[in-house]
Amino acid sequence: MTREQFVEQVGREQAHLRRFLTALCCGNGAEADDIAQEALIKAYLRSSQYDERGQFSAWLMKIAYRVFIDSRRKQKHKQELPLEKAITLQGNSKSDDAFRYQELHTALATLSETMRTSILLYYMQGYQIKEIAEITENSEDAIKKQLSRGRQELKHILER
Amino acid sequence: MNEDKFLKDLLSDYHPQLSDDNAFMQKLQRQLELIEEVKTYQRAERRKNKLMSLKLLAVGIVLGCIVTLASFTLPTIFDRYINGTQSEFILTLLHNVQYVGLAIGAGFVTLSLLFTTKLVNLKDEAPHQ
Repeated sequence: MTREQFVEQVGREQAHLRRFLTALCCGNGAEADDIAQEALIKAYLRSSQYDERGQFSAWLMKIAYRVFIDSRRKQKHKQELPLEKAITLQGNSKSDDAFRYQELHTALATLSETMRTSILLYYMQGYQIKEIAEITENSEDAIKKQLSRGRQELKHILER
Repeated sequence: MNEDKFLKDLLSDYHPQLSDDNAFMQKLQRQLELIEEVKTYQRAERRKNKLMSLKLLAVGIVLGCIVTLASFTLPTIFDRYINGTQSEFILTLLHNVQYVGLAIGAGFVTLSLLFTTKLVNLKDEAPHQ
């Protein structure tokens, strides 16, 4: 894949990727953009390994997910947040936006990173369980469990 | 399932205000340009190292051959000077000049082979990422 082809494909996918990462970072747009940039650079460097028969967006998601997990590992203190702490969490996105999605971001922050990823890939991005298992390198059973638990937890928190 | 629909509706309606698309893509393009610059520099460095290794290989082989061939003719040349020398060390050296020459020649050839190995490694080396 040439640089021009890569940029063209990324141009089509970047908005979906950033939307997913913003939700994954619980509304922190700056962090989501940094992760997206890092993931896209990694993808460019590995573009020779990309199998053109596969889905470009799924390939990008897989790299972005790895970058997100690595970045979270680096900042250990920001792992799973209890609900009380998560409520005080503020993303640094635009204030109207932060207010509009505050409840959702707060609820998402209470989920584990893998559970949040599964929920977002399934409900927001529309991926199938098999695809999510490939992106997150988990078994399909594990994804089903995460979806089931995540669904219950989110509904419980959002309906309070 | 109700939970399914609830979440699907909630998350499909999620459209956070992202930073400017053009600015994001421009930043990415700049980073990709930098990567290309680094790659070009690395390619040039590899080419330079390869050329240097080739030169050293040629010099090593030529010197090795010259010293080895010379070591066969040196004893006859040095025999002429042995009579006038008192030093034990120099006498020993002159008597064994053929072996010393062979050792130096072997040294040069060994070094050349080492450079050849490096050359092969450079050839196989994947571009740095």
